[in-house]
Amino acid sequence: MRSFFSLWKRELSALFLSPIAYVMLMFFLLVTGCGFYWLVKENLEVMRSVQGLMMVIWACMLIVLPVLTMRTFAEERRSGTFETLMTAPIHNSTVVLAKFAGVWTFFILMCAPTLLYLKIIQILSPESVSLMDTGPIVEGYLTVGLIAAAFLAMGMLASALTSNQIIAAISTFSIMSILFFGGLFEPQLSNNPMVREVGGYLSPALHLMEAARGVFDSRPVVFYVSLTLFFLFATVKVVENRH
Amino acid sequence: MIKVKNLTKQFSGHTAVDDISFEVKRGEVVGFLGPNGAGKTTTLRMLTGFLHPSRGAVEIAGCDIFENPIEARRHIGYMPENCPLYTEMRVDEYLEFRAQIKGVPRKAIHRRRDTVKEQCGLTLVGRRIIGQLSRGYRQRVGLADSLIHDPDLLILDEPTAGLDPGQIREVRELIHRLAERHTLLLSTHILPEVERTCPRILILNEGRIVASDSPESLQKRLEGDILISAEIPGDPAAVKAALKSIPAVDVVVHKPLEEGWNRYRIDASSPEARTQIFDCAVSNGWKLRELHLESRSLEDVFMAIIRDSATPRSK
Repeated sequence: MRSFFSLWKRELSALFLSPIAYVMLMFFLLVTGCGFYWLVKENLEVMRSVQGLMMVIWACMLIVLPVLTMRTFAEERRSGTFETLMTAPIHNSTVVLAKFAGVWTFFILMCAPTLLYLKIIQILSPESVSLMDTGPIVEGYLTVGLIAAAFLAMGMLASALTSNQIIAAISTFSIMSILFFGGLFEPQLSNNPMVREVGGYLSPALHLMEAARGVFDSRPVVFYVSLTLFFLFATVKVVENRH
Repeated sequence: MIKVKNLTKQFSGHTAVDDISFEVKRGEVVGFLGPNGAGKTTTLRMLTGFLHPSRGAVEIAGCDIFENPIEARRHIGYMPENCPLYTEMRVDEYLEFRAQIKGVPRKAIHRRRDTVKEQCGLTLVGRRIIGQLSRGYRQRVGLADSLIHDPDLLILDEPTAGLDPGQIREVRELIHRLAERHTLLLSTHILPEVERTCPRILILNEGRIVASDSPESLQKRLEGDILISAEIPGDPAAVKAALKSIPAVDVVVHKPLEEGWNRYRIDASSPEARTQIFDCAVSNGWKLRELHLESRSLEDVFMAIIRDSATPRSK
């Protein structure tokens, strides 16, 4: 347990010491900031703005998550520190979980400033405060956290499979893009009932919309938690298998 | 301390390590030699559990490294080739981090950190960022890391690679001091280093162990052709003729030195030829200012063993 916390702390501090993390922070705040400005200008109703904000965050994740995870294992492999790390008396699963916890914490810290936007809505139109419900907001952010966990775990698997960070980032980005740009983005737009049915289960965008509307659905929770566990398990297996 | 049984490692198509077995006892200091590509690093990686073997078993301090890796690794201080480090960390920070993940008790961490810094000469650079240190200092940080959990066994893969002669000497002295307290397995290219530090040598070639002995007895292997060096003034032809009349002397080669002196390199069948050479000099009234047995360098031994063990399949 102690080695878990040491590794987690190192992973997090390594992120804060790398320029790429600051570029990502800036990118994220810039895009969500612009998105928020647009939402305020359009003067949408409160529910729509929370939904809009969630969509903007999901769009940012497309870039942010692959970049955050690409270095986790690929960098260690390239520099050789993978060898010092894996010959220390620690379990492979501890290493994987600590790295996962590190990038996840970083992403959550990255999202935290967007809560201020909601505060700004409060200041701009005090009358909408009564309309603002904490339920959808909390649920929206929880869903963001779950989606991030699943794709961070996927990104780590990609990073564990290669010693090239670019390959790791692009493969994660590609898979996320299928969900983002593919028909699954707005499955309800399709006429094909099959796409609507399956897409409804798989589309992070749809899950976020529902969550930000205040609808609690356990299916996406189960979906993302099991996806996270599966990718973490696969990463442990890849790390173990050094033939 | 280390028990290796029939260890084999095959990478797609070729055999890097071919059915090797050896033992290292507690307190022993063993030099691991071999040309590049002989399988040294692969073997060490299997000993530390980093690579899985195709066949065979490794036991470290009674624990099987593949069945009980955590327990076995607690006994090992390993410094990989090229000494990889987290270059963005400070020396103190890095050593504390490594102590934590290696399970050093919380209370002992600062004490252990200071001890290994003292041992490795790092006391003045604790606050420096590793990436800004010279190669020699990084190597010491790597050594300090391998010592931090006070392991019984140290496995060092080319600890002096890429250092300048001054740094090599420093690291060698450090290793020499460590050899007093630890079981040590040291892979290197630098033969004088091994000769001075290691009472036992393992030579690996083409994935197989071709020699396992002390440097002295390895040198004795080349015996039979004893080489004696003598410095005598005067006419070389006469001296050569007189020397060749000694029964134990086979071949004499001479090299002119300053002011009429000549150095003779004499191949003899026994080291006792030296007394006969001395008697010969006395009876001929020669001056003799030097007479000694030339020891074969470990390098000669190494080259001979590698040459003899090379199989036709090698290029």
